[in-house]
Amino acid sequence: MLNTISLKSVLISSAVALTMAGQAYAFEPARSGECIAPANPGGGWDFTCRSVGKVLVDQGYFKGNVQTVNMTGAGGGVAFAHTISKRDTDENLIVAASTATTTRLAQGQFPGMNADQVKWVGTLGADYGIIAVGKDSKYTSLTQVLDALKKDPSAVKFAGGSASGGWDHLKVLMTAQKANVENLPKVRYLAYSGGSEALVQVVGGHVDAFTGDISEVKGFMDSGDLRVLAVLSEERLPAPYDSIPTAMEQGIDSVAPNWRGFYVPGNASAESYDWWVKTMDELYTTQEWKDVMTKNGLMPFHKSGADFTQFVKNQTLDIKILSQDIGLIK
Amino acid sequence: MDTMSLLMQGFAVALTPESIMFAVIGAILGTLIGALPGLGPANGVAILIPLAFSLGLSPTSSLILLTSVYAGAMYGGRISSILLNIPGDEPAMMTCLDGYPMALKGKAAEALAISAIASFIGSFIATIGLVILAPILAKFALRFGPSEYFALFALAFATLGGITGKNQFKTMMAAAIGLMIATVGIDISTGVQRFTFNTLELFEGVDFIIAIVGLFAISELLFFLERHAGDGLKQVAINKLKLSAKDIIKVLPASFRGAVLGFIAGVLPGAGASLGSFISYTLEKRVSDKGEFGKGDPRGVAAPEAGNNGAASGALVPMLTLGVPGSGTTAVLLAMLISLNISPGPMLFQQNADLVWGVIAAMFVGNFVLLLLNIPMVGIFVKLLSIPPKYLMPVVTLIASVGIYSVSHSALDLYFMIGFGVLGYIFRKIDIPLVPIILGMLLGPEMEKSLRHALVLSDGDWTVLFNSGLSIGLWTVAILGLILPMIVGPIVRAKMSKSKEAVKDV
Amino acid sequence: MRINDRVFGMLMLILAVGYGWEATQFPIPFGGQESVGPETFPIMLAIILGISSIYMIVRPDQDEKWAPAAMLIELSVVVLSMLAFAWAIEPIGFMPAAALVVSFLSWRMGASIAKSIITGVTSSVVIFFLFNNVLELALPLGLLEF
Repeated sequence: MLNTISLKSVLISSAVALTMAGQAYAFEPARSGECIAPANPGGGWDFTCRSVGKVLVDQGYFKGNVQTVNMTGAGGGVAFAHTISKRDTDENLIVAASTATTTRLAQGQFPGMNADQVKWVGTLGADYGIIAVGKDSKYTSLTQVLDALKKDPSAVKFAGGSASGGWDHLKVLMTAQKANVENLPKVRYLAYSGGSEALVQVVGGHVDAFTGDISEVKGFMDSGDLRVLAVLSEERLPAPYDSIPTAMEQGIDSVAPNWRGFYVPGNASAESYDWWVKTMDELYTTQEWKDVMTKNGLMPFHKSGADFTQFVKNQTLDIKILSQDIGLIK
Repeated sequence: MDTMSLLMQGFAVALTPESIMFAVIGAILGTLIGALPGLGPANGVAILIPLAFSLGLSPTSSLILLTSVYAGAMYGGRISSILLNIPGDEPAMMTCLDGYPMALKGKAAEALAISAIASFIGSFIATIGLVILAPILAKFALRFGPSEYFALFALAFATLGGITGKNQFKTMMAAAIGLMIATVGIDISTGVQRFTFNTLELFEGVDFIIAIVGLFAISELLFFLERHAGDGLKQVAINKLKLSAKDIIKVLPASFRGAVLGFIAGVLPGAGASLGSFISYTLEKRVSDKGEFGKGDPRGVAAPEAGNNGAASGALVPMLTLGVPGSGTTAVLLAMLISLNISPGPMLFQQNADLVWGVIAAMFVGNFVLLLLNIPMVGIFVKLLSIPPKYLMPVVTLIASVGIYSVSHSALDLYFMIGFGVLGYIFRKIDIPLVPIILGMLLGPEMEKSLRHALVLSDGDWTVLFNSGLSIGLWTVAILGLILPMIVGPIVRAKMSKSKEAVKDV
Repeated sequence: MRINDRVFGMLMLILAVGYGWEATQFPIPFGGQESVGPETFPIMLAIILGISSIYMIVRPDQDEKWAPAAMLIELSVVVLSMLAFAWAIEPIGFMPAAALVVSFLSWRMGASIAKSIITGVTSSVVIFFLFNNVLELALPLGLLEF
């Protein structure tokens, strides 16, 4: 009796050991992968999925294809809920995310969900925030805009492509906060359904200033219709954007990268997570991805694995504190 | 002329065998996608972007393919409007009003042919407009601020009374219901949740495609079942195409007017093809008062078709020159351009002249291809009708629901679609028009946003709504559009009956 | 009879009141009260809907004939079958669900059982491959997945 039991347990434990060893060796992705873009075709997330999917196949990480599935709703909330409820162990799935995702998580806009429920893989570049005015505007530097706000917080009206309280709005508030503008909730922000729509209103002279990302403004910058007052990055961006001063140069310590990256389901195996992290690290260094970045105005910004997870945690916390400070959330 | 030589260079690009091939493929696929209820031009273009990427096409070829799909879908939308009374996509909604009655009268082939010709005229004129006016119109569109947009949307609703029903209050009710549905979701201007009941799927509101398929396709299925059991089935009669030059000449003025109006509606961002076909139809009804509108007047088919195709090309103006999508489809095209390393905007015509003019030339080519494809295909489409409805209707219903499901992967969307179907059935029983509901859903968010932006900019001063010549002009037209029919209508009718009597007397 | 418009008008009036009341309950947005807040537009709409429904109650149109009760039951069954289809796509897969609902519908519309089944099966298979392989829009395989 004792013998049979021990034999059984030996068999079981060795089987467990074997499977574990097998897994520890390497994670082998399936023939085809899937990337969920939590928005309609055409948006930033859709672009992230489609371009990364293409590079993954071109570089031989997947033998089949990487299919982009669009899953619209709640600014990424529907896809987030879908991932944690229905795809929690899917190892061949990645979901596109960006600062918009962390903003909503921080502000509790995905009810009952938080950043710890998924695993954060890495970023593949970022789009830096800018503040700009029309060519006929009386403002020629960020300092002038902020001085006007200090006198009267509703003196300058901003237009941006995110909802009220979203990333484009927060960029203005963060910058104003760093410059000690008081009564931040009184800063006027007009929410448009897209950056370009907001931009045209500023160029047309209907709204004072534009808050958005650098990739959105190239056309109007080249034509001279738009004056970019500051880019919210640590250092000046590479050409052709090198003539734009940073906010830091103007004495305001405001940095706002809108990163593009991915998360995977929370209970996907550690091996598959490691594989994805390693793959994103490799992909980021390929020439093909560098070309995609230059083409789309994405700036270098790479974090992955534990580093990125910590970054997401910090960013969520920062946004939460800021949103509470200014009374956006309770 | 400078423009001419640029256009000629464009034709050199567009007339290569490769370009023509992509134009033909795009036209066929587009027509097919447009004809399927539930899949519109936006889905069509979105679906084919990955194809263009995976084939590794050059920017010019990809754009030629996708603009042909776009144009083809605008052509295709009318087919199911006419044959099944189900709009293939939302701009084709107005084509149902006279197209289906024509088909019931045994003139399905004529309706299809006339609408193909009108579509051609619409696209052709609008493309010429694009060539000549793009740079000027880009500047004009910049003058539209929030108050001007609000006036424009008010204009759209003011002319609603012209299209549907005798009971204006029911039209008003329908528009209010549509606008109310549009308020569901997180309010973009404040982040406040409105009527979402904490349901994640409702945070971004209800997609109007779902409402369209539900209200039109599903309710049609229910009505069909009921009629079939009751007083027998109104079968659309099948006929051979008999179209004389006289018939074509008769609809030419309507097509030209529709094309111009559609183009203007298309140029204004946010207005788009639905508004184009809508305004074209209502104006045509006003202008030619003697017609049998709503009962199968060929001009009621020609005007909206010319209008929506005109608007489709018009919508390319703000997209190419300002980088602002005027419609869902151009939003997708815009994303495509950006990922091809082309930044649309005021500088595009300078920086990528060969590409822009190549695409414009390709639009001319694509149009001829579509016309040539569509006239012979009339016979094939009419053959569709020889399939008994007991097989056709369930399959069409299935295709419509798949169109919705495949884009969102949400069963909830299908429940909503069925719910809208039941509502549509009840509304039709009570004689509440469906078109204003859709228009309300489409324009509602934009209208509210414009109003609120205008008032924030003016610090709460309501007179801002009338502070520019442009907005006063738009309001004037809106008020005229609302009041004139009430005054002029009876006078004209009285005159007409008089003149008829006079004829009799003689 | 003019009862339809009256009943529907009442329902819409209730909707208008409920919708308008709900709008007044919205939390005050960040940044304080505006001249036009999230509730302004909805309240305007509630008033418009209210006016038009009162008009409907006071001046109803002539009723259109409703289908007999048997027909209404039939229509309900059809609606239920479509709801079942929507529910079943994920668990049992697109092809089986679609084949069932299309066969059922065309049978209810008067086709013979054999022909209904042929229509259902062919259309669901063709549409599945059209969407999955030609248009590259994935549909769930469900039971047919291995």
